[in-house]
Amino acid sequence: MKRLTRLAACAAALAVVLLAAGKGRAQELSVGAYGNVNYQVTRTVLKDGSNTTVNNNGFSIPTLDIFLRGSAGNWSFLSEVLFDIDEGNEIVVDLDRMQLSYEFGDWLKVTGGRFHTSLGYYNTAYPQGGAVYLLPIDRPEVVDQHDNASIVPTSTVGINLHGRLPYLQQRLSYDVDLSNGRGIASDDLANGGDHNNSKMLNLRLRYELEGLIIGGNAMVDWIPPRLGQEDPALDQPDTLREQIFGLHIAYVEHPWHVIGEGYLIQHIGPTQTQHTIAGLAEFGYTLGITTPYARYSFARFPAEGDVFWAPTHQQDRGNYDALSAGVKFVPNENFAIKIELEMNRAERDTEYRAATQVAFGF
Amino acid sequence: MSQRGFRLGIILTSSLLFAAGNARAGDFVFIKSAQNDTAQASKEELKEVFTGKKVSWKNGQKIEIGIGPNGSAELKWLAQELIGASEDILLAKIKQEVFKGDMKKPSPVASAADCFALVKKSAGGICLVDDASAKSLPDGAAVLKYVK
Repeated sequence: MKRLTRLAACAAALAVVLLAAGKGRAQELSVGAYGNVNYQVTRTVLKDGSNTTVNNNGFSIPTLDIFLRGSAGNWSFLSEVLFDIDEGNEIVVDLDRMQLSYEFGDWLKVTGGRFHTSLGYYNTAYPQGGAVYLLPIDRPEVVDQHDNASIVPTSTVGINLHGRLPYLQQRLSYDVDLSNGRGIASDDLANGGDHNNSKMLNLRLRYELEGLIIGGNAMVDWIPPRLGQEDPALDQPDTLREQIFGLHIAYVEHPWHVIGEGYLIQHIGPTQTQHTIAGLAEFGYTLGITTPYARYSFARFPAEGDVFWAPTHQQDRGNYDALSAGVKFVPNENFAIKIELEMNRAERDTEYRAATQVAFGF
Repeated sequence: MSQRGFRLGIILTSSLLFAAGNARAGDFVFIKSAQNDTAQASKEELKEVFTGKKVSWKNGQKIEIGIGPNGSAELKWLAQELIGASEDILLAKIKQEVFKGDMKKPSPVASAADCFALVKKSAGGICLVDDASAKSLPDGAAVLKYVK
């Protein structure tokens, strides 16, 4: 799968370069580069009765993002190729987004390809590679794509309809996603086809008033059975119906930054319904080039563990509450420097983290 | 200084600052294509235009914005007027919208001539020129009235 993704990423990059080379073909082509360098110190205290403490510190280069966008009239193309360190030290090339769009007007934009699922506020407002635009150092756990550990399906392959309804002074906007949906596990994004032919359907509605956004979404998908795993305990013999309901509120207008969102995720099988609740609240206030901020995020998993997430990392640490605070400095439009402290209390351990990040975007 | 003199000083200074603020707000003018039948736009509408939330005019023409280079008086004025922040913050917001995929990259407009060329080329074009340049508009360009 990684090889396929790598080939697709290279093909997409080549296609855009060729598009750009064709004189007069594309009216506009933007090329961007985004990335960040981090340093963090962590102290993990295990709650297994031993009170074992593990200290760690290190530099990291989480992502390098090559961004391409072209447009000609109402048509546009966008791709985001990520050089991503997912697990261990291997640098993986990932095609995070590849979208073709046609814009009929404010009321309808049709997009096909791989895009960020229209869930909540964060997932579409802050694409993974653009750390320079994020207020804290990382995306919150509920949509954190590293190690495929996000709780909601952050990316999907299919079509998206987006627009503003022509009522209430165009303050109501909608997104409809129809896509392949989940694969057999959360690290199996159905890029090349659909395992079970049933499609994921997601609807997001928002009301916007002078920068204030209030919205909700409802999603349904059918997850195919997972069989033949190396560890038979990870097999999941039934089709699961996944339902995600969410609410979000955001006011991100200079100098304020306020975001709140919450999700109920249900995995429904023939004999059980498992519920996970997750969410976040984030606050910031900009003074000149400095923005102090704070974030709280949490998740509550089923006591017996959710069968869908058994092979991946979502519930490794059990229920958690994470509280972080930091400062972001923006010396100019291209750079951001962040310093952050976090305490993340989970059932398995408590992690304390001090981190700093220099992020760029051109 | 007597109390009366002090009061007079405060009043004079306030009047000068007020006058300077008004003069500055009138220094720049939004330019659109003559083919665009939108006559006026509010601050909120223009903010939506320049931050990518609004992609087309009422007549369906696709919006194409032009902005001056970082450090230019036009961009400073635009940022202060529409979002009450520095041009770095406005540019970062625009770049973020381009990165999200919600906005086309703005066309660079280094002079009034560039702005006029943009709106002549694109029926949905919009950009900013100083008051003096707006007094002698070429064919194909028109003023978009800014309603505060």
